[in-house]
Amino acid sequence: MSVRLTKKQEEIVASPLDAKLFLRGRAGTGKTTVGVWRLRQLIAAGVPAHSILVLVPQKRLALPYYNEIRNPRRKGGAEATVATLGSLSHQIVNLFWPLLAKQLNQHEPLRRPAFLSSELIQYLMFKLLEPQIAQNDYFNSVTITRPRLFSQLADNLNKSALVGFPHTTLAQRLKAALPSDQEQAHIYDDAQTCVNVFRAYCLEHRLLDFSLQVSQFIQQLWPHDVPRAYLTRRYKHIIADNLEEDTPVTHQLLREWLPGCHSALLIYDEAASYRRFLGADEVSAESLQELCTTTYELDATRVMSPAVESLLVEISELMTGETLDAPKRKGETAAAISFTPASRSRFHTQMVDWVADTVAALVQEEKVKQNQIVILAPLMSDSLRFSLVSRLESRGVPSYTLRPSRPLHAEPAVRALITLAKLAHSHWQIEPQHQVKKFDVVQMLLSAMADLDLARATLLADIRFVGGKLLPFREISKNPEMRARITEVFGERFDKLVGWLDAYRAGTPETIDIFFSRLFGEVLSQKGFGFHFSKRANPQNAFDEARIVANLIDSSRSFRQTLDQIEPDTDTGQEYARMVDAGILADQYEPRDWKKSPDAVLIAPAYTFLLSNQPVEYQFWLNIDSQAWTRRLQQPLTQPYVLSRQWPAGRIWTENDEQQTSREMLLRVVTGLLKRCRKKIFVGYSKFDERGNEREGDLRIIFDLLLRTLNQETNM
Amino acid sequence: MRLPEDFTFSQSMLQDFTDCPRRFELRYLLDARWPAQETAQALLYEAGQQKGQEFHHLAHQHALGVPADVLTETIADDDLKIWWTRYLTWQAANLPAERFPELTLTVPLADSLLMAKYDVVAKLADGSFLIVDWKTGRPQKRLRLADRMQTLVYPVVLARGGDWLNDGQPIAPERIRLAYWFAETGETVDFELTAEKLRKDEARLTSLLQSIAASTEFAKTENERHCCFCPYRSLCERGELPGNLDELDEEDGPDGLSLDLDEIEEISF
Ligand code: SF4
Repeated sequence: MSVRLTKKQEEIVASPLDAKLFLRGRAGTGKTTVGVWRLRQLIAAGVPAHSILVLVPQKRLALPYYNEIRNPRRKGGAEATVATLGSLSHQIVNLFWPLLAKQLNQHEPLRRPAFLSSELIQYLMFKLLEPQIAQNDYFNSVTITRPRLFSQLADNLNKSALVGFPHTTLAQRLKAALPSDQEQAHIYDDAQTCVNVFRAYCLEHRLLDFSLQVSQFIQQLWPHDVPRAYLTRRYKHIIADNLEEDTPVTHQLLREWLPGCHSALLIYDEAASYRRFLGADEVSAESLQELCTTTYELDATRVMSPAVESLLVEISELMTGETLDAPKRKGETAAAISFTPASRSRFHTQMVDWVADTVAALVQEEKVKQNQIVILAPLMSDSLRFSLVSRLESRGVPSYTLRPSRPLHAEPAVRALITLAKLAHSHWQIEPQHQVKKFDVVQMLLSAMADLDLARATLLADIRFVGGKLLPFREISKNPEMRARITEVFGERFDKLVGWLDAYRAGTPETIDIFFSRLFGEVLSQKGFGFHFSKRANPQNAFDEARIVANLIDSSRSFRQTLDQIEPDTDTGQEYARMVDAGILADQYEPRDWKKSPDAVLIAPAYTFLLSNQPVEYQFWLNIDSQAWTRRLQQPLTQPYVLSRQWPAGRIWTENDEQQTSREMLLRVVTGLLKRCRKKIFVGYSKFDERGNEREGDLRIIFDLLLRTLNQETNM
Repeated sequence: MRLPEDFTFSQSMLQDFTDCPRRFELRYLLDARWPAQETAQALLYEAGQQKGQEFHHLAHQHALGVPADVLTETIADDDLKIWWTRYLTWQAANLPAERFPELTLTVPLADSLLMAKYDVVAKLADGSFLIVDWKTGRPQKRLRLADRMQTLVYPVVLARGGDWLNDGQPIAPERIRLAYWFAETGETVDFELTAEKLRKDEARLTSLLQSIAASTEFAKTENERHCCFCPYRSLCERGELPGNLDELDEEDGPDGLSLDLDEIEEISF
């Protein structure tokens, strides 16, 4: 990190080696820079890096610390540990589980527990709860997809673990704070029954979902002598960053850990707490200040230009109705904001074109670095992302996207492998709507065979997909014209694939992951097939496709290994394909290279960008009429505010609370984004939205007011 | 291709480069995942890997204070039980109670970082340091092990980055010993470090790191035996079918399965 520190930053970094410091301030004031320099300073002063723990709410927020650890000019030795509550609890439970074996399952105490990924949680909920839901007509008054329903049930369990209350009191808490109609009360009761069933099953089979892993760590292992001695003897220096985005149990853990530490630096960002929907609690975070010997505050921005800072003040005043005691530079504010011109703001596509043109001009004419530009929307739909990526690409500007998860099952490569798996396992019982159809074969052939066009793929499927089976091309004898249209080259490749499937069928079936892996290695990545690596074509495409297949194989392997433990008689291959078809599995994979920021324009949902905590020069805010800027996610089975530690028992959630939290949320997002902007924001507005509807969102109203204020200022 | 500034070398990366520069490029520079099978006996291979991991995990748990009798109760597999019993006997006689399991040390070398992830490092009563590497594959001959990058990297990194284990003082090379412990026999193959050997090994590693950093082309290996158990086979057009475990010999790797265990640990790190 080559930034120069201010005097105040230097003072904090150089604090004595036994200091316990609380550092607060708004975003962009250089707090994380202090954290990184403090880490360097501790090591330079002889503190073994082995004894330093950097604790963050999510690993992406630790990027500046990772960069320091990977700095080739650093001192040799051990490494500081970077952890989240999730990784720490996983590690401790994984190492010390024999000490709590008897609590997990009395009958079968000493088998290693299995950690459940989010897709396995979805699967088990589907398997366990679906029959109960159907039988008892649960959740009949809500319209919600199964994956969303299950993720809200999991979310409720996670809240109980992260906030620290028994999972058996979920419905009671929700009903007490949200006493609406009888129907809603039933929904909470149904949710309670479901989480109880799921938790009992996990305990019986020694399965740890995230919530059980955290609660086993916090409630059983942290109080236990052996793991506690390991943690507290090893980690004597703690740097905890973005405390306000962390949860009450993390804060409680720190509260008990800090008194025995040699030093601590707790970093607290004011007016943030963007992860509240995941249990973040700024009040319990701030209460840790009392454990520290010195509190520092950083208030001068190290990010915003004077114009952006002035814009921040104007907008904050408009949104709160309060006059702030802060510098407003009349005439300068306008330099920090630009709006879609009227001539390009009628249709959404016009606005997107304007965004792409403006980005290209910044990069190509003003020589702005690509990674200093982000394009944000409250929600980033696939179509919007695609429109942006393709428009930028056509203007020669590379871009990359950050999305919370990537739906693997929607990838053509995955669909092709699932189709081939069904063709190779003719004994599988598949529901009629998911049996292989001609359309699936055409799509599979387009993915599996290099250079094959749609016409030939359709011809092959028409004449060689018979009775649910692929028949060899070489056996076409009566139709030479057809052979010629398909060509011998493609015919030969097709036969190689068919031959491989026939040989596989004749032998003992493999596990599903090994089947995918063999098919990939022995056929699909060989010359002439769709995943073959060729230097002439774009090699990155081949690597990206192979990575998708690798993710599918990882997912199916972990599914097989877990299922073998709990249901050894199940045909895991058939079950896996069934779940992928149902959209339950093969989801949520970490994007590649999350530790690197490529030299490209970032396209991301606004919250994802906020949580990556990396300032940039230029921001584009799109879809300002969208309600998603202010509205919480629709979550009929849960509610983050009333399941928080700060919600007083007996208080009822009102419409007024709803509006107030919406306003507060918008204020935090808008100011949070501005504090991470160095030079300018571009506001992308169109009269008609992506779907052609005309709307007026709260954010637009604010910008209208702002425009009026700015015009008055210029006319004065 | 230029190495990223934060590139960190490990012994298995260097081994990959030595075995096949193209594999090094694909795996670490291009970050190419290529999910083909490495062996024809995939499940057997997986079971071997899992058993190896399980053993390492037990040793780790034990070093952190989980009582041996509690751990013994968790073992169901017969091989693992035998390995565990051998381990308990050997460690009682050779390792002090305080030991550093799963320790990662990183040192700057030739404008890069070189990392070693040890199974165990322990300071013995006489003030010397013992590095132990648990090997759950088949036992290897001394000559073969001496040639491995691991044998080169582990002592050098401890000598250069282990001060904090020695009250802040550099560890004298003569006080460093590396022991490969074989679960199949309960015996070790040991390598001692000397000042002269440290100088030579460090020079060799420096020149290797520099030559990798200066490389622009990463050629495919000429020894096609390396391709038999390599997942990039189809990418390199070096065959269709994976190698057969029965045909794996010393030439293909020091201990077959546990070589990959080292890799997995480093990659996941
Ligand atoms: S297949 Fe052979 S040439 Fe290719 S990377 Fe592997 S070892 Fe090297």
